[in-house]
Amino acid sequence: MVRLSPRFLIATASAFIGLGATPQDSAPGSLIENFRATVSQHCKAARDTWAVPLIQHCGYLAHYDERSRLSAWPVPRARSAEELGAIGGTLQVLYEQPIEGDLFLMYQPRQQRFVHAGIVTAVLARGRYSRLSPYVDIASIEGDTDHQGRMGGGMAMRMTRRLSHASGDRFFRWTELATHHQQMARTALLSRRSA
Amino acid sequence: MDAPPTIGTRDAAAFCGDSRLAVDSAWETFRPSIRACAQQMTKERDEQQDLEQEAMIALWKADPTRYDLGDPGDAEYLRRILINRMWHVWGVHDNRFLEMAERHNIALQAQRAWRSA
Repeated sequence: MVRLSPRFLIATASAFIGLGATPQDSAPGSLIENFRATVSQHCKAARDTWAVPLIQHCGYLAHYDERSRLSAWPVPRARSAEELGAIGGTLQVLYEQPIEGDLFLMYQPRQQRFVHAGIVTAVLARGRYSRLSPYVDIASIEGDTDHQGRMGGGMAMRMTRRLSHASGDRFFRWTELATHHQQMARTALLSRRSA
Repeated sequence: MDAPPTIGTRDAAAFCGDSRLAVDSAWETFRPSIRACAQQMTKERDEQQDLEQEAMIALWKADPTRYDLGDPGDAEYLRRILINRMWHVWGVHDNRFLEMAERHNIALQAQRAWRSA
């Protein structure tokens, strides 16, 4: 199996930058449609954002092993940032501060849920608006956005973005999932032995 | 000696964005109502401009990319944040601020979201 590596994910996602720049990219049967189909067979293609499907697609491809024909990508199927956040919360891999390769989850206070996601490619700066509201500037690769970082923009782009855990934003550290799965398996094995 | 060739520089730049750029376009959406609100709060032009400036900073901090400004609910929520900020800066007494928040049921939601986050 391929060892989990944020570098692999970033390199693979970089290859998709610019996707969506032409109308053909979003046409029926196109690559973007396939992203959506990968994570959900019941996806409402016309409306659903493809930010998370792009991440899942890149993660899967980046960790695909030709010999075993399996991918080591450990993130369970999630078709939206909200689902990714719920999974991260359950598996305890949501963090307030990012490191390179994390998946950022952008929070929307009105709807009180995560609404957008992308891949952190670099942590550029940290600062504070006030004592209780720190922020972090990140570089990211994200899908279904535009030049101003708005959601549903229809393009995969490099982005500079300011996020803050005080605003509810979180970082999904998927590289810890492998360790988590190992621990779960070990615990299950030990409990089976003791029984 | 010729400069080394650059490969794909222009294309790479075309696919780079910055979420802070969204503040300008969002501000254009809110400016008329914010200006009208500032004019109601004070007749002094300098003070009106200061209040508008505060609203713009609040917009910048709120990050308009989190919201879908095509959604009337999101746009209204964000507008309330800016107006509440202006009232706050203007020095409205706490009780009055809370009364206004209750009336619109918006600022309270923001406070709850802030506390739970």
